Amino acid sequence: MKTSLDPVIHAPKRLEICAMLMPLIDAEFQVLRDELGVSDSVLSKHISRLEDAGYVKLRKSAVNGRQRTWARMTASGRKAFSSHVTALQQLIANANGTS
Amino acid sequence: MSADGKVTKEEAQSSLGVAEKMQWAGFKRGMYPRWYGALVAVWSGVLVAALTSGSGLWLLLLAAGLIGHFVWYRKRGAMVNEIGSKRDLVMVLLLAVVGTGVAASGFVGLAYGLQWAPYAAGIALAGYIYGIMEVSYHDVWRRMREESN
Repeated sequence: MKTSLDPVIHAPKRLEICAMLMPLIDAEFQVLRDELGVSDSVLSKHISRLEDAGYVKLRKSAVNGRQRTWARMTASGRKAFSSHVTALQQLIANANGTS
Repeated sequence: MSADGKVTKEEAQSSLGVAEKMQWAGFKRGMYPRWYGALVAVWSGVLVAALTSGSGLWLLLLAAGLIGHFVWYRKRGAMVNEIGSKRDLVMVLLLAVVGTGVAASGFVGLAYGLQWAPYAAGIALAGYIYGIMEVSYHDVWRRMREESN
């Protein structure tokens, strides 16, 4: 089966976001930011891109008057991430086969 | 990815390494500790014992448990997706059926004058839930290890 790399997911920070969300139901914005070691604005930008692609869904909730944002992978996002990982593995296998 | 859309083998290996690292990071953030399984089991047992013995405390216990879980979940900021297969879904359904059955047996036992029946039902359910939580805990860890291999 031939799969291709997903340019939306391939960007390093977006790959990290997707990978981190994969085993989770959802994760809070702050948790993602801390694990990725990026600023709020950088994380927002990447999450928006993933949201536009339909890979991530955001949910907002207020706790003690503070707005908190939660992100979760959609079914299509999970599928796209798995395909992307398979494509990377195929690429390595092909490179090993030709070298 | 380069301008011509090509990805080298080294880039692909590096991407896979990063993806695996982050999957583990997410998993470790969202996975509940083992004591949490024991706590849920004890809470469920006490709840069923209170409910079937006719104590009004069950409503308070239910509310406290749900609020506690909610607060803990928000504080952690992430939650592992435990239902990863149809087998997990069957386990959850089985848990609901057994839970209802055990609770019903507590009611029936009490109706037949067995004062200890609600407590026995509570202990049985706590043991069963603890077992399920342990199996689930190890199952999720195994699944993560398999996925990262």
